[in-house]
Order: sequence, then C-alpha cells, then structure tokens
Amino acid sequence: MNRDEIKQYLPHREPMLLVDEMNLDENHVCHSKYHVTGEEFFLQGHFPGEPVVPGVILCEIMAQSCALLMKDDLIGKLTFYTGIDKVRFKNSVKPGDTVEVEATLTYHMRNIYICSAVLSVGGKMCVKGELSFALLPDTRNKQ
Amino acid sequence: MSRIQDKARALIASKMKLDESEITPEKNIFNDLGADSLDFVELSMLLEREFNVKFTEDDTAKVKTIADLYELIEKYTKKTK
Repeated sequence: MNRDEIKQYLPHREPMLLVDEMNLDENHVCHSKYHVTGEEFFLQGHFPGEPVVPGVILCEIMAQSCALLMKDDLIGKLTFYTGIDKVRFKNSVKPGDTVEVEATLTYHMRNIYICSAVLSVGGKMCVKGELSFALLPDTRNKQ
Repeated sequence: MSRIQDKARALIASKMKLDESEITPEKNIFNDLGADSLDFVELSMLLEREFNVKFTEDDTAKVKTIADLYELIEKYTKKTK
C-alpha cells in the first residue's frame, strides 16, 4: 500500500502523515516504512546543526503503523491515543534514514485497541513499546 | 469467598494499584475504583490471561461492579472445565 492508498484509511494528512508504505502479512503483522527526508517540520530546531527525529514523533510513526492494523475499522473514525506503555528509545533516527515499523495487535475490546510495535533503521532497533488507541466517530463532515 | 474470587481480587488490586481491602463486591469499577475504559480493557486482558478464558464483548459490556466481574470469571471458568 502506498501513501495515496494509506490515505484512504488513515485520517492523518501532511505534514503529520508519517507512513510512506505498508503491508499486512499473512500473520496480520503490519510492516511499514517512512523515509526521513530532512525537510520535516519537526527537525527544525531539534536540534540546530544536529537534526534528530524527536522521540514523540517516532512514537507517532509507530502509532500510525499500528492504526493500519485495523484499517477496515478506520473508515469514518479518528484515532486517539489512550496510552503509551513500556516505551524504550535505543538509538536515534536522523535525516536520510528509512524507518521500518513492525506492529502487532495484542488485544481488542470494543473501540479500544492495544498494540506492540518495534521501530528500526537498517535492522537496528531504535524504539519499542506498547501503544493503545480508541477509535471515535469522525464527525468533521457532519457539522 | 471462592478461590477464584480471591485470585481475581488480588489481580484487580494489583492492576488498579489499590489495597485488596478496597476491592469489595458492591464497588463500581469505574465510579468507585476510578477505572477508565483503557484500565478496564487492560484488566480484562489480564484476567483472561490469568484464568485462561476469553470473554465476549457483550458480556464485558454488562460489567459494572466487582461482583459482576467475579460472576463473569466464574461463568467462563465453568465453561472451560
């Protein structure tokens, strides 16, 4: 699935759409990629002369990848974080890196989803954690 | 109190970071113990794992009190015997 196809499911848009491509394997594991161009808004000032992708943005990249695990449930919904747990930052991510995320759905009850995700660059783990979300109705076009 | 209830009470207390004495049957999990929807989902996940059962969403939707939760666990553990 490319960026345009991803937009059919994820409600996120530029500059906060942080998944370039994704696929779901036969075990329902989401594999996604995001290429850090160096032009992103979040690199401006973080840090001058030493751009590093902020940890919260790495969590957001993982979250968007996790959301794609329930892509068919996303239609007409917005995704909201309900929790971030056991997050560990192991290595930094810099311009030119291609981030790869592997995300798995751990548990689902009603509109709450709990997922685990690992974010790596070139096979080296940068972040891992457990993320949870609620899917709520997207009322933007109904007002 | 049954052994199942004893075990469930200890798990609920641990998950909710409360003293076991606060986990009494009449307590409302949300209003009295302060759980939010994510706490409840995580608690259900923990209880399913510890009791080796799988609740349906319809059944968990009816749970309001600790007594409801005990009843739910007992219903499902009987099913698996």
